[in-house]
Amino acid sequence: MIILGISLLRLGDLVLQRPLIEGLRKKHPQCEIHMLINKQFTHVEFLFEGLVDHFIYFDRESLQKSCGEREYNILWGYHQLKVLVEELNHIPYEAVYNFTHTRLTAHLMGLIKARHRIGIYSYEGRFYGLNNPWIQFFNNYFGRPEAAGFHYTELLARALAIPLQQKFLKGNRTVAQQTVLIQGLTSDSKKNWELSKFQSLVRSLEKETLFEVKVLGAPFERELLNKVFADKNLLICDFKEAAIALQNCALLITGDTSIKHLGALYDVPILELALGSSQPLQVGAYSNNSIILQSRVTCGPCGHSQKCSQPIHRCGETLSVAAVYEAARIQLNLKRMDWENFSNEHSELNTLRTQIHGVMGWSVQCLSLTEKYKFDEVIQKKTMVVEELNRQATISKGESYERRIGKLSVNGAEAP
Amino acid sequence: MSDELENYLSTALKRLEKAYKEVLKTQGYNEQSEKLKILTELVKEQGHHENSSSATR
Repeated sequence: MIILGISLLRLGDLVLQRPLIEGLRKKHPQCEIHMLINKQFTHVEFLFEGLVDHFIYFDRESLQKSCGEREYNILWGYHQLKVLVEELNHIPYEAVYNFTHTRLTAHLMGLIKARHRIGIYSYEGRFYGLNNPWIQFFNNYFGRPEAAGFHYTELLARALAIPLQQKFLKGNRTVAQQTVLIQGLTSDSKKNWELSKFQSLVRSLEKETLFEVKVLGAPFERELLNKVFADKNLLICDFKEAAIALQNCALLITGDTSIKHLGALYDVPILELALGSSQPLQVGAYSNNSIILQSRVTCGPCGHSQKCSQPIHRCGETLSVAAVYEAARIQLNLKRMDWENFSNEHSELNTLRTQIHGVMGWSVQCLSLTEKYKFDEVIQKKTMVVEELNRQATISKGESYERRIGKLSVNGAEAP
Repeated sequence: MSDELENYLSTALKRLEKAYKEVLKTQGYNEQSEKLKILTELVKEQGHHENSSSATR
């Protein structure tokens, strides 16, 4: 029996989906699992060793170029798709899972011949597969305040009926953890904290602690990072090398990035700076005891694909170097201050901590007493929604929901 | 996103949507129409998420 999984979102989403692929492997131990992923993400295949038997590539970049650049004939893209679909239909798939949940993949799912389709797919101009309350909830609310408290990984697992168990990857710790890693850049300038602030943070950590500080960057980011950081502080590497570095670090300080999710897979202590459109209540680190600092600004979190609406980057400005430095010291056990005191001293921030409980699943706890009630409400609401959706799933077994297919949002329900 | 690219994507989108409608009119829903829809969605995604094609972190 062969199963195909389709995952065509961004790098962070693919990393977040690893526990689902692990669940799928556990659910079907004898199956061969194939994954269709974006071609530019071949470098993350190492994360799926022992889980995925075969990768197939979707050449998103070339296809997009074929539609968007004058030099290409638009029919070239059409032909490439035809070849891909033929290749996929050459394999006798028992089931195909849509991990992506976008219109694009729904149409692709519609073209793949398989006995079972799990997740959305299109057929004769309509979308199907929204056949249980969980996938409907995911479709309608993910990325919106209604789904606050539901982690992307958990919600997608429920939507696709894949068992999920929190299990961290065993890293190869080769050296004492004396390094603090910083991922300074994200894929969206709104989510970036100023590099000059990171520079001050690096200086403080080097001056005041015994930790070595390294700033992670992809090769194409070298030039930008070199303008601010000394060579000795830079760790320019590919994703796999970053994974090795993470396994040996004492703390990762990062924005909302795929490196954060990679760190969470290895259970690395994380300090997240949640700025711009970062949605820590839905895509925070899927791990225990990750600390999130979120500026309390009226404009945030802002929309995923919108430009910053403010004349200055308010959320970034509100987050001070002193606060991040102090939080890092607490995370590194260098300071005996507790988080409650920290939160009270920094009332301009929400200080949050991620937790994974057996029954509740993933949750975010607010460490500031004055704001705690707001976040407790999120947890209470989540509990009620979980009960209600489970009740509906038991009653209907999905049948009535197929008839009430909700509209797919324009961008699908991809992770913000 | 540059204005030039945005204009070009907008034109590509119109062409794809026109082709999709033509296929629907002449052949109904079939594999061709689905493939055109996939290309249409790719262009839309490029418009919404400029970074989705990049291996940024």
